[in-house]
Amino acid sequence: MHMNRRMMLKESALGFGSLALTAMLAEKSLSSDSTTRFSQQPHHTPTAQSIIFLFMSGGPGQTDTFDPKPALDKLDGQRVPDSIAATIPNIPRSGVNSKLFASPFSFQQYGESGIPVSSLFPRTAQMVDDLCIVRSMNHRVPVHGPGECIALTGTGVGDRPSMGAWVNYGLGSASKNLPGFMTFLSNVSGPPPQLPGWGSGFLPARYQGTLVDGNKGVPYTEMPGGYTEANRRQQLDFINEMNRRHLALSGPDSELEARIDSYELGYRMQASAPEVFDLTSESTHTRSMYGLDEKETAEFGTHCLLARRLVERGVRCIQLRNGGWDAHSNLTSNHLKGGQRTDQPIAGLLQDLKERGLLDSTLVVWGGEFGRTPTIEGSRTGKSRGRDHSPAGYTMWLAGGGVKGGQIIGATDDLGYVPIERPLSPADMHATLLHALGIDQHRLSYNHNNRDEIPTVFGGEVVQDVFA
Amino acid sequence: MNRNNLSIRNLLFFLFCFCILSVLFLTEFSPQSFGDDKPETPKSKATSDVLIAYDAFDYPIGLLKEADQGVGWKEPWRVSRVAVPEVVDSPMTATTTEPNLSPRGLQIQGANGRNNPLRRTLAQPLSQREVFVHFKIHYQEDQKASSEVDPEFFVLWLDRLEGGDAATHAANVPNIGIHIADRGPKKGKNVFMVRIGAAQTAWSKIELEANRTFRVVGRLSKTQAGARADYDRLDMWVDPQLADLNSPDATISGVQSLSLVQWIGFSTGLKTESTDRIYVDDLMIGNSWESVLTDSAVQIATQQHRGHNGIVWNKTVDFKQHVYPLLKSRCFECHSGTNPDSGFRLDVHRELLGYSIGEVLAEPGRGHRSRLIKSIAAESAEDRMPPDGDDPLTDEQIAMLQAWIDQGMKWDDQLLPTPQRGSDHWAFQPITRPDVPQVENPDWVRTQVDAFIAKSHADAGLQHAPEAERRTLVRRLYLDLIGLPPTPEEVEDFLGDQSQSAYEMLVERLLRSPHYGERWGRYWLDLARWAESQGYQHDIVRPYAWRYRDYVINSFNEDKPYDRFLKEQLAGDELQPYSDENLIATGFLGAARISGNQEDDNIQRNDVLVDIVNAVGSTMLGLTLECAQCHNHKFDPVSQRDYYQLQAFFTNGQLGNLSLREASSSSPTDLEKWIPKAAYAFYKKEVNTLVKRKMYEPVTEPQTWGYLSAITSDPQIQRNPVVNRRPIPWRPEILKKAETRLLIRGDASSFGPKVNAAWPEVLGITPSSLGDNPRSALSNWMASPQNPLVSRVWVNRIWQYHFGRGLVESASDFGVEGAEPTHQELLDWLATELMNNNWSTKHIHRQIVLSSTYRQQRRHNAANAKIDLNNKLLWRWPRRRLQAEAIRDSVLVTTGELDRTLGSVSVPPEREEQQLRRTIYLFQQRSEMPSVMAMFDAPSGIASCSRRSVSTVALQPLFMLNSQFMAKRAAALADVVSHIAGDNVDRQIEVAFERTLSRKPDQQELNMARRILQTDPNEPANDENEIASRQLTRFCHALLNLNEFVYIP
Repeated sequence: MHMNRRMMLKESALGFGSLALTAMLAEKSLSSDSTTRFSQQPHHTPTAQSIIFLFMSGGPGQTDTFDPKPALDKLDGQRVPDSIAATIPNIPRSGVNSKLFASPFSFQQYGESGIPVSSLFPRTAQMVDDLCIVRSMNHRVPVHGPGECIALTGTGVGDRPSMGAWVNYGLGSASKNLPGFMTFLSNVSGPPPQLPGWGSGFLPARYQGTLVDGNKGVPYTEMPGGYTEANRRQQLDFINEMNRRHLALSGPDSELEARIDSYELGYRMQASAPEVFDLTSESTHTRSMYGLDEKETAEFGTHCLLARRLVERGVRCIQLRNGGWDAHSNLTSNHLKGGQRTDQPIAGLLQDLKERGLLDSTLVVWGGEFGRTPTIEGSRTGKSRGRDHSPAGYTMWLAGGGVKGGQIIGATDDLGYVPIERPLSPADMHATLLHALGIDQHRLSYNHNNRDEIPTVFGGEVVQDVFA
Repeated sequence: MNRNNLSIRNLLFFLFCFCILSVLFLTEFSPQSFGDDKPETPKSKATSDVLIAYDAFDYPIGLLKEADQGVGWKEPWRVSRVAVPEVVDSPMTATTTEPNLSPRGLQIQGANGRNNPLRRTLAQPLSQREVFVHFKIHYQEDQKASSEVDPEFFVLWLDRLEGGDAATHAANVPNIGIHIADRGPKKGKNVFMVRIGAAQTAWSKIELEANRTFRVVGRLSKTQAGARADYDRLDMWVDPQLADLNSPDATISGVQSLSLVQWIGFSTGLKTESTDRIYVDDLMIGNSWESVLTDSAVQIATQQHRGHNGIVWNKTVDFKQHVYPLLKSRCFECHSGTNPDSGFRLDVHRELLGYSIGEVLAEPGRGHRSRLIKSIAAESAEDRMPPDGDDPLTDEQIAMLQAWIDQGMKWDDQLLPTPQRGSDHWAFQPITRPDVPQVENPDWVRTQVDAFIAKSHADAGLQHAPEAERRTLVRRLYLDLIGLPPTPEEVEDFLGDQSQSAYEMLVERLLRSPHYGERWGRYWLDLARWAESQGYQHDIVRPYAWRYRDYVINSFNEDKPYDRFLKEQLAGDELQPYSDENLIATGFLGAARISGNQEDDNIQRNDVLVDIVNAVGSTMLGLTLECAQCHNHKFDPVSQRDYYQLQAFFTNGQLGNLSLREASSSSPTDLEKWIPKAAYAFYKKEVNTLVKRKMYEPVTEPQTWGYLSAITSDPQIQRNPVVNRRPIPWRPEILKKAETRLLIRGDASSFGPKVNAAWPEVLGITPSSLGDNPRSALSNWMASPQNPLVSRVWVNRIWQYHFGRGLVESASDFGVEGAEPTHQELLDWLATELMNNNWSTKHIHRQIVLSSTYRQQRRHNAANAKIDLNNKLLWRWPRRRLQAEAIRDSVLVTTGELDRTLGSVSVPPEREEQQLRRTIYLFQQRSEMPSVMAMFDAPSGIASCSRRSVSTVALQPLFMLNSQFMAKRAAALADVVSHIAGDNVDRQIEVAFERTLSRKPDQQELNMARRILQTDPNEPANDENEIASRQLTRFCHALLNLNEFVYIP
């Protein structure tokens, strides 16, 4: 595997892949003495310009959302049959010795595709013909922190760049006034957010996601007391003039120039960011689409609406993390709440993007760090029953951005434990997302510690059938 | 990292299983030759003694996952998910007569609950009248220091059904094994017993003894003939002789049982702890007493597997004549040399044995099981070697190679010698002191550094820049050496000192300043990936980690010899005489992160060891060892074995809170004072949980966060529990025994061969004995003048921190792919200078900062730029932005607010405004680094960081202009300025310039500043004073944002 990648990398350098080469050149100049702003071009025609990752932290259960298992209804309360138990990988807390737990939610078929969706997502279900449901995700880490890192960076250690940072590095922001990668946290209950999920790892810090408070907007865009637009401008002019004089003494210097430029960019961001975060211009119709005026949906709905506004303004990557799916007990009430929190906003986002003609160029991805076991965690009974973590097989979905909707990829066994068809890893998903954005995972490289690092260090293949 | 690499591993594993299957299929053994038994005819002696099934467990070492060998079975072994049994070098008495075979056995560990570690289905179900079953068992005592009998449970069962991992196999199921007797003369003792169903037990008088091998034979028989009759009698013998047939040690009869047996397996029970080790070997099922007693399964197994596809090579194989030509013509093209395909190298004998990467291709005496034979004999072309449609080897060739392995895998070392792991790479060569070059312009040479630089200038045709103004130099020295700008008074002091040695005196003063350690210690903390929390998801704080930060600062301030500095950090817990300082130094090893909820203790532990090895390799040796965690290093002559051999130095230790003893170590005890509020609340919650679970007791005596060995540490060091969701256990007895295994492809559950502690072979031969304290030996080797890397790497780092770029640009990669040194002779000269001067870091500083090279202006020179655009040869002062800490600290110096208190516990964000101390003292929680650090490229303490990147993002100016912190500082600076300058605007401008930029404004700047300070008639305010003060604040704020302010002049 390593050799292959290396060879491909060499080939692409010789064969002149614009991005790989510019990336390498840029790195050369970065590590030497100047900051070159290279033209960030995709490797191939992208099907998506932006990506919105709806990260459902805690891990929604696949059998309760998009992967119905009639057999589970029949075997409710029984032991896992040996035939399936034998196939479950040796992962701690696989729940294999617990009793099976039929989903408390009913499934119904929707759309022309007739894809079943659980009663948690009646509104998102209306958009099912736009969704490509991947039922065969799997990895081996049953723990939130490393799981989140795997889902968002490719490895559990948390030392590699997030996919958003790779995208930001590879493509840059199409917006002059806003960062290329922004991340929002909502319902931060349960497992704490993992910094590496939007961190830049070994990539320069400029590529990291900017953590944004949905209510306050981009940090530090509010001027301290005593400032007016006019005197800030005056102040910046002074800074600029002083910096130019300083530069003139030292001769051409791209790093100093970049710092001079950053003051102008900061100024523009300060000027334009509040507008992005000011939702008063949105119509009542739009507000209700996202559920902004309902208590349960207000927070996540705001983030979804902001995501659309950011996409409109050219931001490449928006990550919306919604916590609280970690249903170790009381699965029914936990997931009901999760559905209430997110169904309306997600449906609103998809519909709104579609109505505005943005869905074609915006890739929307939904999923958690893992799924949940088909069995009860421990020996709880009745309503208090919950499920443990299960990375062995779980569901994600994609929509928009060139994705062929109304289809299902992969399958788990009769209980929803393990993929029996088309097992896919987070790395496969990453390769696919990058591909949609026009990035070839093998050709986007960054030289770190003298290794040409690529986004998918442990392999991962583009799932071509995701695309239309 | 590699534990995520599952898809590849799985694939390999499938291939592997497939190979085993195909080999079994191809062997000449035919199952029809067995099982000629006639169940209808009762008999005590079979007409012919026949084994029905056996397994010798002489597999390759490693976990027994779905292993498929032996004879008479339908499917491979199925293993429990709870505790996977492992094939190990057997501790049992050897029975094999094969000279080349080291005995293997199966190791089973308890699971503190009902568990069926392994079970297997027979090719033919048993229903004959009489069946004998045999196995050997060896019980290894766990380390409980108690005289009471530790109850155990372990049985072999024979059942119709498999059951699951936790099935009991009790009801009506014959069990043979060990249990604590509940009655009889041996009541309360662990004895051998038989039972059919839990209530029907026959206790023997034979007690289980630890660390001894027992041979157990059982006879399962039917008193009534017939396939549907029950196996209603079960006899058992322990260590029987052939004559003992009529005197079993325990018998049970007349009970309801099964009439048919298809599954056989072992069970452990609630009483079998996870620390218990049970070894099993020679499992045999036969039709007679003799069939299971006369031979060992290994002997039979070995005889069964001669030859290939019916062709047996009976002659002695001659390596040179037979083997070598074949390997050479068919294999070596891909599988030889330093970068063989898939890492498999066939031209070196020890590599066949798995020396470097742990994957054994062949073992002497085990030809039929060897991966080599499996892959050349594979049925499918896809799995077979040579690949890609090459003709397969002939049956005869395969039989020959198998015979060669069986005959002991003799080698011709003349023909194919074991290569010395050598390298002609410059950085691995011994350091010799180069001659100082003669230069044309000796006046420019202030220290020998200049001679080397001048020579490279002359060689390249470069002109050095003139010396910078003294006003510039004083600011440069302050920022570079202590990380704080000079106050206007300090600038004037220097400018006023007209003596010849004013510069030298200033350098000495700064090197003696306690703030020097705060500046230079921070570089080391970056390398040490130090932080005050556990990292990962929970990121629970480490309340006592601050002591290591102070240790580092103090060590720099004392100019502790670098060799000593390394020794303390690598082996401080071993050093004698004991000192708190040494123990605190182990915080370097202790800085590894620990997951709070890694469920797999193996992985959790491996992650820590990997972290330590990577940090040591990167920081001290300047090597990217982490590559070799999963495979031989692709570029450097570092093997995977080297990696794990280095890991072996640390295997017997553990991180933890360690008690300090010296009175001088007393410190605040109120954690709330220095831990951030939210982090403290979480910490307290976790403490309460652990206290309830009796896993933690708060300790009030002084502690540090460090590393402790279970074997070699000073025995008086006391380790206290750790607050973590999943506390890392301190189990000295287990740590003492902990071995280091080469992990195949880096996977923490794929154990390769055991390795001993050693340093990377390419850097020198490790002595055969490292003495009682191997880690001290490592540290002595590390810090010895013979080590070609350590001194070079350190002087290069010092150079980098002074000039922004090292003489070797890749400061943590001195390997083959690392950057070429721009001045290798200078590097080596500095390295010898370091060693010749008692490893004094300050001595190296002097060579550098006293040089003319260092004192150059930052002046552009078009002619030079044409030759050396990036100033690699230092023809002028290189531009360098201040680090996050120095930016914040500088701001606080200009406002006069900096609290210059040294050391002690950290400052939480909540108290930042009350304790405006240097940034290095802000609490460093990995997931919540101080905002200025996160903003300006400070590392988050995950991996060793040798050089911070300098990123320029729009959020930085926003932070510098809009954050509350900066707004307050601007106001404070304005206060100071107006306090000193009064209302005189020109004087205010001058004072503000002096405080921020260490210089006066020129006329043009003065004019620009006056403009910005002009009253805006439209600005609403209560009075003019307020407006003036706001204007001054905005002006001061602007100065703090200048490039000139954040760059070293």
